[in-house]
Amino acid sequence: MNVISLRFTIATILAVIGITAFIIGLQYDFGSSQRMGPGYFPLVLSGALTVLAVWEAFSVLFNPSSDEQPSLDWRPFAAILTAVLGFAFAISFFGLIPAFIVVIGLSSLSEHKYGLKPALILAFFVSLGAWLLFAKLLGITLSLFKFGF
Amino acid sequence: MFENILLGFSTAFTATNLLYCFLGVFLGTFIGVLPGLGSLAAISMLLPLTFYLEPTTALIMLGGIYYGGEYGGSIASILLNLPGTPSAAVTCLDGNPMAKQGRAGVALFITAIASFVGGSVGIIALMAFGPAIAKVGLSFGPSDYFALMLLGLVATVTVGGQVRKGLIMVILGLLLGTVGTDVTSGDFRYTFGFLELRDGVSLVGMAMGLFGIAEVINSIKGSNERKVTEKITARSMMPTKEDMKKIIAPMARGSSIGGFLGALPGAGTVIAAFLAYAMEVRVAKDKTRFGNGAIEGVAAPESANNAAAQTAFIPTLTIGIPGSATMSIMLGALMIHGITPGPLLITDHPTIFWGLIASFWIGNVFLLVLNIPLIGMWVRVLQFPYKYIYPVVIALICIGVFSMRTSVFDVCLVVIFGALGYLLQRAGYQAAPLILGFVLGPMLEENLRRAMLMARGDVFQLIADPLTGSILALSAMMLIWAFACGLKSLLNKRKIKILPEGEA
Amino acid sequence: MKTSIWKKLSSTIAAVTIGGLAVINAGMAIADEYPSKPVTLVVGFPPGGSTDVVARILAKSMTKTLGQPVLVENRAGAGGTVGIGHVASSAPDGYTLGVSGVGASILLNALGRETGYNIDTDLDVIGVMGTLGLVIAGRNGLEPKTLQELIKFAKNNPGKLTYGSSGIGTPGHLAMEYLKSVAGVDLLHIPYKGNTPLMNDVLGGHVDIALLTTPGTAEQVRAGGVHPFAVTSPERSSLMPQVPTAIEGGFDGYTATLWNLLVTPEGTPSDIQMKLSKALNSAMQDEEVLASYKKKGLAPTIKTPAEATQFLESERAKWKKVISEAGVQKK
Repeated sequence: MNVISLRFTIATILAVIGITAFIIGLQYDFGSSQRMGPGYFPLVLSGALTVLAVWEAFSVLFNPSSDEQPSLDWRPFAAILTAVLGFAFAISFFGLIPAFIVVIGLSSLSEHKYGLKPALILAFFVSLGAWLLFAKLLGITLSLFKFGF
Repeated sequence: MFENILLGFSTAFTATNLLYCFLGVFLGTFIGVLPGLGSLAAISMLLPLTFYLEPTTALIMLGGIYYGGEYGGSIASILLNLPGTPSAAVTCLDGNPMAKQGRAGVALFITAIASFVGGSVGIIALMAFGPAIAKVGLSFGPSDYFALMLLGLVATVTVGGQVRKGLIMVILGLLLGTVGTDVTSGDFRYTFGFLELRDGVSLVGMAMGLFGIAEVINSIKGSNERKVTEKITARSMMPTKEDMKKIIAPMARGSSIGGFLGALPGAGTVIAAFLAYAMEVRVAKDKTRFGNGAIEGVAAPESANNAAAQTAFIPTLTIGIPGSATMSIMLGALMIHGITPGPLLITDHPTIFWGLIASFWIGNVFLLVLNIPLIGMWVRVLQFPYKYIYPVVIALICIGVFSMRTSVFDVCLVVIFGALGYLLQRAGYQAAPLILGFVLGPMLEENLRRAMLMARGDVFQLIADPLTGSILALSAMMLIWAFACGLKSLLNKRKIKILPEGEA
Repeated sequence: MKTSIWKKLSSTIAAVTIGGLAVINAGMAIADEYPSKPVTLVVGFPPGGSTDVVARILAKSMTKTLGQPVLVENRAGAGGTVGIGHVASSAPDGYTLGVSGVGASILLNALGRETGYNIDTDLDVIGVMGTLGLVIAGRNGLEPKTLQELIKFAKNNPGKLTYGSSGIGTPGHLAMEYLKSVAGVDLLHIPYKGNTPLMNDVLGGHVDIALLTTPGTAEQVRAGGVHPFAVTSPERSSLMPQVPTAIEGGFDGYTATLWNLLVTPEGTPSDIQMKLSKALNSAMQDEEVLASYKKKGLAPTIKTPAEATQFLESERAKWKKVISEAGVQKK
């Protein structure tokens, strides 16, 4: 994806966010200028966002300044986001230590040749450190291991 | 006055108090460095520890934790672009580029100095004009607060150079700020049935996603080629004479802006750093240096932030109105010790008041003494291969965000904002205005609606108020100026060859 | 600050220790000698807030009686309902207790808010953790000086006076709406987010009157920053004995108090409930607790679980009546 289409895509996404927020905002009471309702700000803001985003999209289309070509790095993008999601999942069902192993393991997939050994060593030390820090020092007793809920 | 200061120092200078002050600064710095955990988290975590101490000692320790946490947040911001608070997001703007240019040591050094200067100015203001400033703060009504928030937002929009993109980010931030329970009507907005969203989107989850996750994804590629062989010498960490000269005026401006704004409950500390930064950009001859490691861009907001952190104690201690969440916890600590803070605290408990103020200064000295030798250690963190750093950073972000509210939901927010943040960053948007919009948005809306209620819907009554009117006029001027500059640069662009836009 | 988090359904789920040395059935272990491990007291508000302070004072005393530490855990959010929702879904083994205030227990529900739990069917009420009155206070420079004069002034100047509350659906808002309907006056409501910004604007003279919490207001009254009209507790406040009650001011039966209930998940064994009730009630007689209660203007309460449940019922009846008579819109 080159810069122009990336910028255009982002502007479009922002416009879609604006339109969606506007449509949802229509359900809220708009109120009057004395008694502004809960819908006043959301409508004004989402309207402004939509207008600006569309403006941005058009200016990208008609004013292509394609000097740099920063592409998206899909591999780390997917790996890191999955890692965080994996942490959320693992800590809900299996406890702190498995969650750390999951997050380190999945983040290490960001690179082709990370290797299992460094990932394992890192996971071990991070788990140990976090346990010492959060459980022992700061007194937050999170379940280290557990099953189910 | 003088004997009061003396009383203060004699209270603070006991071995126990000094020990706890040091301990507080140390622990605060340590927790503040962790991604996602700022001074607020540090104070709430360590608050129970202080229940067993004497009230003065407890507050002195909490004060120490507070600045330690603030400074620790700056370390994480500079080294890894991981701000935990809105003001740290400002430090990122130029602090992180400095680190990337191999000047992390200098940036940290400047931060320590600027914090100390700002803190000292704030303390002097607190001692000399505390009650007077508090009265000025009280006279700020809803319409004045609205105008002030607007000024903060306008200043941010006009900082980035790209006005339209800045505006988009601020508005997106404001819109995100409307998520949750509407204060004025009690209705839920954009909560989609999630209980967790009723109090709004978690600031820390959002900031960690937008900055931390986006930064990590961005840095992984090509990180193995990054050269980290630079030798760290004591000299490479010290700012040059030229650096020092450059930061004197920014520190003075930052401290005065921060010192004044800090005294306004709620608003001050957040916009102090942003306004100080905006001020430097305005004043500077060469505006392109900002965002690319300008040393003034670190010194001014850091001194403003710390001056504000000190004067934020003014409303808390002189009238019993806490200016921020952190201050509320400090008040809570006093309440636990059976002292109800109010306007009579100074007369009823002079040892607590003056002892605390003296210990603030001692705490700032400790911060300086403790952190300058540690700069070398922090900079060495960057010497590790990035391969070993980023999984740890991700893990720390996860646990940090999770432990704030023991919430899995917030961790999921990190994923969403991480994705959004990365895409926005690649497309040339800055996350800092979004964060400010998000933080100021609810206050802006609340105060405008309250002001309109009180004025019975009469807009002219609002503008006619001298204070509100003049702040609004200032914002309007800034906006017009920015658009004019934007237009001028656009015209220039058309004439000359199109210049590459700086990466966010 | 935060203790063992997911104990949902733990009566059926085995707890596995780190080394896998012992697998204990949680339900069996407690029955023998409760408590055999630290007890968690969940507070639905952030540390340092007034609810948190009360919880910590009582936790300290209950720790002495129970012989195991009672640890305060802050799970703030949605007017305290996030914390109570967590308690409701915890195991009824007596190791997860909650502090449920007026809002989380009654008001949010009575206003038609989804809280995610039902206090009658999901929670057992152990006792009342003291009550706190509110103060009807006005900004300095306001002409009327007594409650009667205030009402008269408001009647002569309809819609001119503003009153602030710490939020929609808070006791302060509802009680003022009730006063409006009882006295037949028109006041403009300005909602705030919590007591602090409200107090700020009363002190700054930006809002005319407000229903404020006692301890902080007493300090402001002492310094002459605000003018008290009446307290809303049945009796005069120990912090401001010079201020009459609203009942004395001519509003018979007009009371509004804040309180907190000690709750456990529904189905907690009755012997555990009794132990907790005893520990709470002995805390209410603890010298140290009484001293700090007095400083904060809190009135201690001694109630058995049955009496506490009855208290909840009567308060609910009262607030429901307030909501319907004041005509507050339900969401």
